[in-house]
Amino acid sequence: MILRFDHVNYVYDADGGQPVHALSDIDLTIGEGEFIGLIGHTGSGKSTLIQHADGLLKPVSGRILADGEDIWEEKFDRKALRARVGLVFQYPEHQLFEEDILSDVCYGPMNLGCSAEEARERAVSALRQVGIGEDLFGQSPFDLSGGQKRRTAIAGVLAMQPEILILDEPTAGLDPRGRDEILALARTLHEERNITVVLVSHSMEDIARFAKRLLVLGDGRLVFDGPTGEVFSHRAELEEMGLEIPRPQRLLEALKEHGFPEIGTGAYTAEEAARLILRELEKR
Amino acid sequence: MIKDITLGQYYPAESVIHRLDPRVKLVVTLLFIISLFVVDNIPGYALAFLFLAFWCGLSRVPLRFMLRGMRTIFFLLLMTVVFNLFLTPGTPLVSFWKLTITREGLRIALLMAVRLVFLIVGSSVMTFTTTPNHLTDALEALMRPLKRLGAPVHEIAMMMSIALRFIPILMEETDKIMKAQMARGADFESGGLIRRARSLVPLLVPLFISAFRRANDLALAMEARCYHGGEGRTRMIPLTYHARDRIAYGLLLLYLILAVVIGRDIFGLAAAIGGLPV
Repeated sequence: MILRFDHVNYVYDADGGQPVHALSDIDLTIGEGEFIGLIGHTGSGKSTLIQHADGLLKPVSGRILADGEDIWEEKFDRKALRARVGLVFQYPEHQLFEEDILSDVCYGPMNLGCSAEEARERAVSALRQVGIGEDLFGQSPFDLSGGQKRRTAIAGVLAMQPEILILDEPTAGLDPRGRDEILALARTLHEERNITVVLVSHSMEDIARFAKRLLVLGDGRLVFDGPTGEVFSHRAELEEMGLEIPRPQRLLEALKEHGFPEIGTGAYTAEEAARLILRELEKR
Repeated sequence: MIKDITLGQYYPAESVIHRLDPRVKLVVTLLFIISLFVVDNIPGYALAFLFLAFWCGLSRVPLRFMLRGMRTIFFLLLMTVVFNLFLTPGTPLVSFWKLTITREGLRIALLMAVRLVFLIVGSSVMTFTTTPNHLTDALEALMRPLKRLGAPVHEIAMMMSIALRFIPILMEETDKIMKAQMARGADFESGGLIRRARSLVPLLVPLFISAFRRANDLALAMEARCYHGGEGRTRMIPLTYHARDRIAYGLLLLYLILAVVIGRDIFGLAAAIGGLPV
């Protein structure tokens, strides 16, 4: 599915005391099979933006088009949209409520009108994808570890079989191992199932490793939209917005300033940076 | 939807009323409410109106904010008026079908409506101009005499301020969970009563869990900072009366005397002047 934001504006508390312009003239297209990183400072409008993508907030002006259809048209089925655009909120484990894991994951498909049998099938396959073993299916979601809870919650969205998966800070509060599991899951879903992934993150390293295209929000405006490497080359502008470029790239730039004037700086993952450093060392 | 409830919301502004000691505001509000039930004639209400207008005007809270709170009690108001209008026995004024409006009914209905509106506006001035923390400080100070009787005054005040503090947090949380479940295809709006009640389970269970989690965290944080109740606890900003507070008490006293004299018509003035409407 192609999701298009057509000059979208959103204002919080439009009729109240102090209106806040949360989104200003957002114009972008999320194409099929993309892996997009979304970054921005706290309060830059990231959450507002992704809630628009799922039809949870209605733009004050502008349109959101799903395959060319305006999602706020009267006849448009937003419930079906929410199945096609899977939105995983921050700390999704806080929305678990059922007595056992399997029923919780069934909640989404059941809401879509699946039969109990089909919902169960989808739930089992979603849980398998996130790596939750069958021995845990009957357990209470509240007895799981933090990482398991989060994966269960993500399975709850995957069971709806979305075409676009939006993950809002999916690694917040997890230990390094839990973080790697979640990111590996996002990559697998993207590569093997060709799901479009939008990853919202504070971690430039994570974004740099996975996202091919990068969106940068600042004060509700789309400041950058382009290939990850190109966006990270705007170091000064990003730092002015309180965002840092990935650490490997910072290391390379520091090396360039301090005795390695020849070194390339166009690498933003640790592996690529290591390769560039090795190449430079071999020259000597 | 949830944001419409302005009753009990602080409105930041620079005004004399904002600076008044919260104890004064609490006493003024309480006695003003009592005065509304003491007066029972039109000059008395006119006096109450003057006092209220003065009180509101000084607070610098926009009128539309105060009236927004009225929306929530509109139905209560309507019911009161309708019941009093039709169900009070007395001299018939208008009558159609099985319903009769009496002179007494009209009077009571109008006075009741005015009384309710004044009551809500009067007390919302207090909540608009006083932060919840100040309010509970004032409550604690005013309830201190009850401590002698063994009432856990400090604990009650602390519980109240925590409860008040948690209202916006839990509302935000509700909104978040609601959206998260809607993203999973939940539908909170359609279906019959039972279906709708059932659809709340995925909202309420996470909400309760989150409330308990927050309460637990808060208790730990308080204990980590050696909180042990009210005994021997001093205040960062102790409550002290200033000149403006004394003036406010003076004006309140004046109003109360006038309210009793005029509103109850103690000296029979109305009759003397020659039958002002009573």
